[in-house]
Amino acid sequence: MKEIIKIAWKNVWRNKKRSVTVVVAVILGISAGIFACGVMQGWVEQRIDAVIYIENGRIKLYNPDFLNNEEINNVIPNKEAVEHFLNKETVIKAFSERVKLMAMATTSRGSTSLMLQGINIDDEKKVSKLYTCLLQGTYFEEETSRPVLISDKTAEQLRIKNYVLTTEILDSLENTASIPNTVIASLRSIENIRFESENKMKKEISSLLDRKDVSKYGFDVLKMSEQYRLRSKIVFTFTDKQGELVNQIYKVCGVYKTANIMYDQSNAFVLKSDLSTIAGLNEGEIHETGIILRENANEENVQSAIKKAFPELSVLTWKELSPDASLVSEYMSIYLFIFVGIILFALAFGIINTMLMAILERTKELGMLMAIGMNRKRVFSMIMLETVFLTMAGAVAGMLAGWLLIQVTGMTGLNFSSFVDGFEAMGWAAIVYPTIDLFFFFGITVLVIVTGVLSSIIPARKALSLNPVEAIRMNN
Amino acid sequence: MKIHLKSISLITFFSIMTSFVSAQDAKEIVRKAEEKFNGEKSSYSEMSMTIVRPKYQRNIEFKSWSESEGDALTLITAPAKEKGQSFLKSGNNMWTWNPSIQRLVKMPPSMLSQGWMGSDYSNDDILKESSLVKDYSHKITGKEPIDGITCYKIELIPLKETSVIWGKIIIWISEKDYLQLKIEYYDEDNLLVKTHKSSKIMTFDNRNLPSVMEILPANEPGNKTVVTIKAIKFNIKIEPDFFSQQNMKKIK
Repeated sequence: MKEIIKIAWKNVWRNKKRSVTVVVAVILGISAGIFACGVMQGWVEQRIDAVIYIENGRIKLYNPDFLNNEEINNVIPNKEAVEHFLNKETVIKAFSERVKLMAMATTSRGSTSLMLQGINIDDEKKVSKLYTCLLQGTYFEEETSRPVLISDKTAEQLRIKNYVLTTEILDSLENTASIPNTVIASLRSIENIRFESENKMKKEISSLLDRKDVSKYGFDVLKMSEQYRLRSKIVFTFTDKQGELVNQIYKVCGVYKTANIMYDQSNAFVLKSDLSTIAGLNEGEIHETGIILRENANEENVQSAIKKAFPELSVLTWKELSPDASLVSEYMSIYLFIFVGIILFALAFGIINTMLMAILERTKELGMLMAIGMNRKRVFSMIMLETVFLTMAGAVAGMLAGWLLIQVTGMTGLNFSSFVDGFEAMGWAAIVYPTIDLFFFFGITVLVIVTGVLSSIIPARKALSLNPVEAIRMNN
Repeated sequence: MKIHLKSISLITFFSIMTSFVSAQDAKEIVRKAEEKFNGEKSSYSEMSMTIVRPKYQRNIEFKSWSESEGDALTLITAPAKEKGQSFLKSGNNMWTWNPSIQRLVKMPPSMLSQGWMGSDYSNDDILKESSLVKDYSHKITGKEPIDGITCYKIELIPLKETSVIWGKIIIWISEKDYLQLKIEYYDEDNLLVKTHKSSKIMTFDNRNLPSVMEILPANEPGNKTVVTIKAIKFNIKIEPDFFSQQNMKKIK
């Protein structure tokens, strides 16, 4: 057997050019496959991270009626007891209680409807990483009366996001010399003029510059001109506990942006104390509790424990709150293997072809080996090993290349911002940090060996069907 | 030296006094102007509204009843498609009745700041209308003619802690009749957002009132809404249960 392995390995390298071609094909296929899987997995992990640590927490508690109808009166019953229970449970790392009201936001130039979330900053910071997603301003750190944190998207809808090329911006552009001075000179004519929508700024830029410059620098100029008017007023209108409409004025203290536009455009944050008073809710009346667990805790166990203690509550895990994300996370590994499987299936045809060529070339030699007494089993295993070696050589190098690629891009991140709107509308980040489980490589190794074995069957059968006497006399 | 100080303090005293007086005046003028429309016990009016957009134009006619307490009922009479729709404003709430779907809907907060019937008038404008006097500090900044009529030019700055979205409002009120002939709304950066203009003063029910009102959004050239008063009557008799949800459905 040892001899056979040696012969098979040597045979692989007899026709170097041909083998290298196959090996390179396998390297490319496998590394591309692994890299694509890394991107997908990175994406999914980022999405789940956002779902848990920004949007939902691991578990959320509600009054069941609130889920059907987001009414102010559907508060969590028996809140003190719930609080006591959550404080006692050791696997619960932190929890945050929120007041949630559907509200209409109005500024002098625009309006939109939002879910206004009244939060307690210290608790919320332990549960949600939203404070790391600030674009401008602060996370309720300034001493202003009634601050509100809104998203980039909301700022756009309320026209708090403006587009201005200030003298400073133009001067700094001139100094960095990334944009030609002639372009800047023509942009000077809209210096310090405020445009309130992206479209108007776009129109203005494209009328000032010629086509080539617009496609080259337009996007950068547009991004540079974005500005948020912090501390501007927003009037929120909502129904209070008595069912009366109330108006309250808030001042923008910060602007955030997550990877999920859907979440962004429907959530704004204010202090719980500000919101409760005007809405007529007292201290203990809340609509939602978001819970974060310790790393290794099982959320299903905690869920059933809470359910058992408080049967009158709706206890939902993030998997139930964002079924899309949980579905993807559950089937991710299967998707990845199917993906690599398809690549290997395509590669198998190349391998079969190469091996058939090798058999054809060595007909005489194979006939000789058989004639001097090499049995069928050995011939078969020799050809099979040859195929597996050929595939494995490429696979190992391919896996290494793919892994390296993932390590590098995992640090720098892959930027898909040119299609950013499409991705973020679905809640998937525009900058992806690929990552991969080491377990995945074992799976791929097994798949590669299986592919090698399967694609050796046809060439091996062809070899076995040779008649030694005829084969020896063959001239090639 | 002493005399000098005295005279200075006297001058400052007088200047403070005069500015105090003019502030009082400004507020008074705005209040009087507000009363022109809202100060009567009750009113009935017939109006037509033209919504002008760059690509189309449409016309709506309606009747409206109102009461000094702030209750109001509006009924659409044309075009045929919208005929019979009615709106009831009672206190801080607003309901709408749509005969084609036979539904009475309480306007949720989310619908309040959309334009009323697709115009540049927001429902919010209609609900919060009466706060020009209470929610602002007033200052006369000069006199200017509008369409040949001498007007006080008054600057209104919102008081703190009021839920006013504007940065400031400039209002031109005619000296003689206390008519609001022009109102400019500015945002917090003092940029113009929209202008209300009134013109064509006519006599309705023995008083002079502008019969045409225009709303011009500042940054959407080509868009405007024009409201024309066809008839208006004041202090008519209104039954106590007139402003009710039942009445919305049967009013003609």
